[in-house]
Amino acid sequence: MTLDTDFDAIVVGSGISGGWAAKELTEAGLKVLILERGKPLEHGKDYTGEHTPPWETPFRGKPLRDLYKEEYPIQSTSYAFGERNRHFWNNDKENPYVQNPDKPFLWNRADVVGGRSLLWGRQVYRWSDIDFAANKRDGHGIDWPIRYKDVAPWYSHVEKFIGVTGQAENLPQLPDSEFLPPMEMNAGEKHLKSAVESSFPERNVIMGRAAILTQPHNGRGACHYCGPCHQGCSAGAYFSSQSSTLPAAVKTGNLTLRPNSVVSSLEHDPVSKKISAVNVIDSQTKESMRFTGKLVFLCGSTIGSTQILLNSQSEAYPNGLANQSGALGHYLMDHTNGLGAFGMIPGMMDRYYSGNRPNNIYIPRFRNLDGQDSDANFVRGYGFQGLAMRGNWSLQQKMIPGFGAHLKYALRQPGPWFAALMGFGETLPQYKNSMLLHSSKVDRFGIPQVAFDFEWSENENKMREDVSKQSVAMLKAAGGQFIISGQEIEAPGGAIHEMGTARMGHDPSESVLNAHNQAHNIDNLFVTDGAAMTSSSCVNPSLTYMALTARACDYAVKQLRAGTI
Amino acid sequence: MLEIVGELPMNRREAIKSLGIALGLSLSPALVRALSNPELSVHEKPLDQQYAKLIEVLSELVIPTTDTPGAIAAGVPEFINGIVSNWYTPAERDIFLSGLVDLNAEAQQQYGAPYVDLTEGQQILLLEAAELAASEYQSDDGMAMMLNLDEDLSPFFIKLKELVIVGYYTSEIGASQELNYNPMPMSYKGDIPLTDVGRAWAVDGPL
Repeated sequence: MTLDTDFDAIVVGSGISGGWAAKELTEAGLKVLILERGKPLEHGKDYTGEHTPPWETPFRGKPLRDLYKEEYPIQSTSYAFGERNRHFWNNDKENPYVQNPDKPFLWNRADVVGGRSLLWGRQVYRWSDIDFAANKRDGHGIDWPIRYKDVAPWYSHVEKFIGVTGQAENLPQLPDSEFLPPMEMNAGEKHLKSAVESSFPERNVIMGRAAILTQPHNGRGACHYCGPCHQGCSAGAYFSSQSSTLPAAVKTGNLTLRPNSVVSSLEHDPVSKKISAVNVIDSQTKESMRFTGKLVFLCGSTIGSTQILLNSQSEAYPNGLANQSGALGHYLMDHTNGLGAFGMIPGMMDRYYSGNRPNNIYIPRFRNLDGQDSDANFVRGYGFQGLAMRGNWSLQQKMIPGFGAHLKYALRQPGPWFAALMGFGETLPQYKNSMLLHSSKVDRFGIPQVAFDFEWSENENKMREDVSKQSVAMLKAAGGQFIISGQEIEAPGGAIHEMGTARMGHDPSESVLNAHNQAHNIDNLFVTDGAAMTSSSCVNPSLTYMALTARACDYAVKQLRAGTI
Repeated sequence: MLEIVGELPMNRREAIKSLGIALGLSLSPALVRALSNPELSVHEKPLDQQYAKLIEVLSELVIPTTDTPGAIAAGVPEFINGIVSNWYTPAERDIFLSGLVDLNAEAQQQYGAPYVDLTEGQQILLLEAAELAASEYQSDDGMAMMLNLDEDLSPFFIKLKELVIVGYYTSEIGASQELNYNPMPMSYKGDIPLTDVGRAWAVDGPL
């Protein structure tokens, strides 16, 4: 048997971006190889924690503290991590990076086919021209080489396939998607909406937009509202590459998927000025392998893709592949994240809900939209994800004193309404915020470990103060009591919206990629995950990765057919 | 369930492995090691017999049998045994076991009998005293949304109450007989009369 090592296209990574690259390229007729560093995972069959009742969960869901501290100290900081899906996640001990205790950076990673598309929060929002023009407007960072009109048809293309629940709102800062029917707000959220919108006419409280099916769509089942999507969904009701793009790519007969394949570097041919090979280490056998393809798409996540580029050094690119600008690894961004405010909302004690809605409410950005707000001491803006719920036994157990029958009867009834607003703030692209390869520490494959040098700056800290102040004001407007406001931003990386480090731009002297996610001067190399982002917006980025990936695939295939690649 | 209760077979490690396989859990070697390390579990048999009856009595005092089953029927004592034997750190275990010893000592001193032999009224008085003794304690993780991996040095009563409540409402009886449990709701109705549901949901929301 001869191993097939030559393909039309090689896609690195099988998550949100890689799945889309595989689907688009195979459907265009290309023979595609996906290289995924994680373990194999079979859709449905390997969702072993799906629908597990609490009484069958080890220690009823209590964290295995010694194990998590020893082997998952980073991953276990995520709300989505637990025993029912631990097998989806990276083992921090086996796959370490260099953590500077003075400047912590959280790098959440999956370690299976499907990547973080299995674990993501599923919120999808289009970026607007307020986002794409932000750098140009205030001078922080370089201008995006694209605008909303370039991406809009690709947003539609992606949304029609993945299925997006939501409500059209006609807001300039948050363009509408192609929507499936929206989910419903509960009584507490309806009250919050009406109170906030009447007290603050320029603000909107809208139903969250999510890549979850509210009706059957493209052969996938509708949501059954069991709740915790991140344990896997064998109905395929939320978008993951496992449920959607990978099966579509498999159907073409053009896909080869190779798990356990750690890409160490890319080879650059100085004569053709193209990528000539992809070097791989099999994570199980430690065998080194080499694959070739006419096109190479890096979709290994922001940090993962740039790690590969930084580790691909040659005479032409001594500081990392496609790094003639010196921008590679720099301008790393995340969203500021953390509790805005949490409080009790009196009233509505006769209203309740049924079903576990895997979606939230959203307050789109309202700061600095038409120029700089006179009362804002920061640039850009933030949005809120939020929810209202009635107190349950878990939330209320410490609020009800005593024990015995009265405690049991008290917990039998749902408690008062609570509302929470979580702020997500835009981070400025700054050269000093970066990832790099450590000079001596290597991983178990001999690949230099990633290190981070990232700190929140003054703008993020001032924005954070406003997040706190405005969220408290909105809960107060809704009659909120006992309001708790978060005072600190989580460590960077905590929003798991890391972006930048191989940014797009007009000018090869200050950017890594052109307007088509194509490396400047390396025609067959594309980077279409979060690494490509030139600014961070304040809305969730994954939908934009998908749209940019599909757009880049279309461009690459046309160039390939025209003979220009 | 991975709670190790009752008598364990001779080979502890093998027993845990087979439990894991039966549950379809992917047990890493480190987890097997952690769970089967005798040093992590002071008590070879989960908890001494002398505590077993006491934990039953206390569980039922916190969540008694009413028109629905109480803590004992829901398996709370077994859950507590599992947590105290195999999940607590030595310091946490020490607080909990010392609390049991103290209750018995108080019972002897005030009423001249072990706690389990007191009248329910006497038992309640002593447990209320334990609650009062714990009332000064301020937890800083009340609203924590993330997993808390830190050791929890809260006093005995807080530990007892938390264990009984978690053990009860995450049990099949507590979730589906005392509260409402619907693993497959098929729809989300956001704004309905409470009377349509009746009791609180045992599992609530996307987490």
